[in-house]
Amino acid sequence: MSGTEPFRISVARGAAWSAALAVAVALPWILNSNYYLQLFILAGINIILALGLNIVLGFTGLLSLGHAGLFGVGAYCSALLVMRTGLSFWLALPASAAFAALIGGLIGTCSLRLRGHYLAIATAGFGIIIYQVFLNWISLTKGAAALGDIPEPNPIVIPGVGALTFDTRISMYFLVLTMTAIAILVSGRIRNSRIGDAFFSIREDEVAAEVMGIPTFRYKLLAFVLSAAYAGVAGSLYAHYTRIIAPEMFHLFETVTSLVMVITGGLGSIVGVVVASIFFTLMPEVMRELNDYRMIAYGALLVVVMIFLPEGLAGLVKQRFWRGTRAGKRQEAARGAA
Amino acid sequence: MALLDLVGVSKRFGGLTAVSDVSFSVGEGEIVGLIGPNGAGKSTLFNLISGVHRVSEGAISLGANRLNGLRPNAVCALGVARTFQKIRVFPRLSVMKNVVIGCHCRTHAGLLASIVRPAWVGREEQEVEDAARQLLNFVGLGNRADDEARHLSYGEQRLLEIARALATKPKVILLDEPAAGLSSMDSAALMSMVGRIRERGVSVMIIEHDMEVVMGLSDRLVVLNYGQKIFEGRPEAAQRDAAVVASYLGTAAS
Repeated sequence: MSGTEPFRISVARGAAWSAALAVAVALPWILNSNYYLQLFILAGINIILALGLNIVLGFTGLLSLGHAGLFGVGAYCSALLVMRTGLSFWLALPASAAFAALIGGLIGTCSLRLRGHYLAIATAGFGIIIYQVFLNWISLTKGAAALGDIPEPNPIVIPGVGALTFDTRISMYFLVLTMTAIAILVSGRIRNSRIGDAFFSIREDEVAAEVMGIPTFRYKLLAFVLSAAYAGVAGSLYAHYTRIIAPEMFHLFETVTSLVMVITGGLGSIVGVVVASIFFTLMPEVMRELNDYRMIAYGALLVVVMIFLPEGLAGLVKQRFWRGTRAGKRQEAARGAA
Repeated sequence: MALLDLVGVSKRFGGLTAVSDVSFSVGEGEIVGLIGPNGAGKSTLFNLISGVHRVSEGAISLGANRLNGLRPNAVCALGVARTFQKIRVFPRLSVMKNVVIGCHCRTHAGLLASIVRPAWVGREEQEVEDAARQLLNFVGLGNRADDEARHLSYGEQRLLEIARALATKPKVILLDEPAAGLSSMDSAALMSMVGRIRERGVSVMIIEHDMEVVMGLSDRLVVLNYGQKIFEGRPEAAQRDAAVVASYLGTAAS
């Protein structure tokens, strides 16, 4: 991508991301409302979570339904490390990403010999197991009673300047914004790299990929591990932001929320996933009285998108722009002639 | 000198013996034609060499390396590339990307390097892109680099598969009916390309049904029938061989 893309487009892309970042930084003052700021904090966490799912589903073409469970692994791991061992949040965050990655790797090792629907069912099974562990290992997780009083992230002391504390919404917002920006950057780097190429080749044709020298099992496992690490980071941020977690938040159904974000955004498209994640975080809150029907709406939406917009919003935008480009016109002419 | 060597290779699918006790070799810089009626086991043989199917019996080796038992990606890394009879390009990726992916097993950037992007990663990507562009020009797809592979014509997709296979820097390339479905003009162009592939120092093994084409091109022919090798030798000799004529070429109408 990076190399073959015309310079003009990569400049435009850079400018668009910079503008988005500027808006995001100014957002607390634009909104001037703690309520809406809180929604954007959740949107950031959802973006990280969905970008993780996008690596497995969008890049590599594997349907993994254990994602919400891994999100929970990150959340419980981080909360318990801080509460039980007194570890700093700043160490618990990478530790819970690593632990979620480990669990993701185990799930991958056990289930990646399966393909298609069978893989989806196996990963859903692991999602259910994880949920049951949260629910029933009461001495550790307090089960359905919920794990509360999770401390906020430890202050960062900068010698000579003072301490950066995370006891306000706005400070949490900037923490999540920073992590989201890193998640987007890393995701983009992976997508445009040799590793990303390997992921995409598996999505397109696994047999051909393997014959062309791609060690497909290793890359599928890597996709699972990376995706789980993203879920772990999102889980840790979520636990220390909401400061109370319960098994219900990591139920199999919650994977559907991330699925909706990735699929309507456009499989593999980072911009699409970011936009869809923000939209699907804000919308249910704005229409809160309809929240009970959320899963019905998501189900219907998935069906409609799969039928009419298989490449999601990103595909729609691309199609619109594609028509105007030289290559697009040449192709249409070629197709007309054929 | 033998480069690719098959000794007593058999493949059974349940009770069906698709390939039975086949031995032959492909030398360095050689073009070997593999012919035979439909169902003779030609594509199965390619699947066995490239590791897609496991060999039931026998040995396949490339130089000093044994190939059977290896995964397809390992076979590819050792230097055997192939195209598919039923086209298997990466449809929604650009033509350029298809070829770049072929270079995967010859490049090194890992996860950390891909994220941090030290200078050498950029250089490696540039080298890969230059190599891919050169290969696309070689097969005549230089002007289609940015199109998605699925938008290429059938014949162009076959050319793309050849470019992608060459990108893996093979010692031997297996071409499975590369001219199938092409016009006679495109087919002639493709065959002259096979000669130029050899000039790049790559041995070629080719399955082809057009007898005129395969006779003119091959240094040697291997003929399969019902999974068994019934002939191996010079193309002219094949035309005079009774078994080959009976099973495949057919006798003149009288």
